Amino acid sequence: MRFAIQLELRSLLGSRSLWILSLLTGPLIGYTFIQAIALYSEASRTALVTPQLAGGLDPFDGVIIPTYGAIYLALTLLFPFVAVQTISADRDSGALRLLFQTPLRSSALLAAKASAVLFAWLLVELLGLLVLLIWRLSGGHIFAPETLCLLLGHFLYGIIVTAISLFAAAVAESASSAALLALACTLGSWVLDFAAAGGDSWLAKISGLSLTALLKPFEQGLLVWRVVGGIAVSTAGLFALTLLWWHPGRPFLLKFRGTAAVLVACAVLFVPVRHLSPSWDLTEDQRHSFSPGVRTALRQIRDPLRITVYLAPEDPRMMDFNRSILAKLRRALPRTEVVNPEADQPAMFRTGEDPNYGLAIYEVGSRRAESHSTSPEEVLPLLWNLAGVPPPAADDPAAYPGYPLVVTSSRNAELIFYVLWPALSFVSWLLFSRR
Amino acid sequence: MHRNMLTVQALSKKFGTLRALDRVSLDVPRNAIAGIIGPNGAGKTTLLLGMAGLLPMDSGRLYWEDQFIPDRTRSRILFYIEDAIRPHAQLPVEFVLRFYASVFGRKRTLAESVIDRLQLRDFVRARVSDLSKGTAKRFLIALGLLSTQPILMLDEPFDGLDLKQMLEVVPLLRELTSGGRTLVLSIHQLRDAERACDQFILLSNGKFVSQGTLSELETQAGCAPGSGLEQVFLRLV
Repeated sequence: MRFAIQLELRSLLGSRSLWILSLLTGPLIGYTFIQAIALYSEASRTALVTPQLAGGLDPFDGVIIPTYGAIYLALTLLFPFVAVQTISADRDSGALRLLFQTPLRSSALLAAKASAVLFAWLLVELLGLLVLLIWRLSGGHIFAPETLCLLLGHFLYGIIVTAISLFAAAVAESASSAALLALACTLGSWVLDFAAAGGDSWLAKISGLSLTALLKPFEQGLLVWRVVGGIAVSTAGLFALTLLWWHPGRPFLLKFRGTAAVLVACAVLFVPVRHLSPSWDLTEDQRHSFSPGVRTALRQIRDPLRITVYLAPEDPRMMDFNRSILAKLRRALPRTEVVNPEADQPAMFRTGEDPNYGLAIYEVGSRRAESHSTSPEEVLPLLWNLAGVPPPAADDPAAYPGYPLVVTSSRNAELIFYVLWPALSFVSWLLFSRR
Repeated sequence: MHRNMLTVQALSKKFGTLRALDRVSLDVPRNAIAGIIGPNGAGKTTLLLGMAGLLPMDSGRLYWEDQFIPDRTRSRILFYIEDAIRPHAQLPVEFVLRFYASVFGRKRTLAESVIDRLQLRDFVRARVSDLSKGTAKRFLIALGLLSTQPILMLDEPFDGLDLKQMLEVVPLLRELTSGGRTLVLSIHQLRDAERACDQFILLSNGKFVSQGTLSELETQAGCAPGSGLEQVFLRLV
């Protein structure tokens, strides 16, 4: 195994694709970071004059997430080219057939290849860590739990893109068709998400399974165990399929039967994953959660809560309702059932003449209440009344202070991302390609 | 002791409508160099790939010392090196040879001796992709020498080697057989085959034609003793 990892790492370091990825990613991430800092500084100047605005300045949303968006872009568009090479280059050169005849186990060989690909991922993520370091050294605020959550999301995203790319390389006959296949998944997810944004069509339902959607909760500071479990099962399934498909000596029928078995095993494993406990809110201001007092009171509601809401998914009131009530309720009371009759109606056929439109009906056991409000201040008392639970004592947590910061010069970042990193990538490529 | 260590039974393979191998059966004798001889398109490479378990066959079985060998365990018995490949093209020759020596559990001294005996010392730092055709061929033979399977199969091992190099390589291969290994070589140059092989397996159009030592084949073909493989080939194929 150690020898296989050495071989794969050496092959990767000697490949042009890795250093092209590194060369392109540095300036891309640097540019995004520098732009994000400039915009954040601009907003911070106003907040320093008007302190009431400071609470809206969250560096995680203002600087870190946009910069990691560039890393996501690199992982989506460029990384698959590096990943597929680890199998495709060996297949083209005849090395794969030789390796299959060595005492190395097929799984060990795949693990070595995946380790090498994860090294390439680490190289890209190193830029992200550099961003965090520069931001911290500039006096910027970093809240560790939500930042670690984001890093975990990127790690899982890197793992699943690796698994997709290796599987694509295993089934495709050439490196170019493998890259196309892998990009069809990564880029296709992106396009699907864009096309389905805001709607509640079948397209939107499928887009919930896209790779982009998998990363979204981590970017919001939410550690959703169902997503973590889903990625783990999908990755294991893809690796199993790769092991099945990459050996040239396996008859098609065996591959077909094996694929069916892997898919069934994944489907079975997805059942408990779907029932994993909801999520952890790792944001500094606990923006995805009710206050601790409200959560404790909600847990006293014994009967299942059912909410029927008559609002179109693209209606801003529905978005607000979802963010400030429904998402938080689902986290506190996982058994909450939400029904939206309007969601089944295509947006273009809605007449706006439905007398119930805008109404939310709350049912706890046999009791029922109605409201047009989307505000927690009105909805929560209604729930206490409906469930017969005493309202919690006021425990309004301290307001989020905000972290305005004016960074006067981004010269260091420019030097690192535009000059040093590309130069280092180029020198590394020269060094490893000639050794 | 089984004289025939490897038995191939009715191996068949079709690519679409093309029948590449048609129920080919043969025996590979122990500790010998067996040459698979046939014109271009005879099915030599398909046969070797099928025997190595690197290409799924439509039908057929392999037995090693009368024991059936399933596809998944073929690599314990056979090691096959394709013709004209440049494995791990971007890596230095020495690194690749050391890697294969390590995974096969060979001592470093053996790897060094293989490098010297195949005159690869001057190329150890060169990348595999930069090797000339003849040097690349010697590099592939070196990989074969480092492997540990009892049967080593080489596709066109002398293609790209000049006469002098070939005459140096043949004794090396002979040493392998005296060390207990068996070699199966696919060769289309009959003179090369005659120099290197003890046994000849003749293929034509995906079909087994005949098998035996040169003198046995000469008798089968009705040629005078000493008339050579060319005459046998022209008569039988």
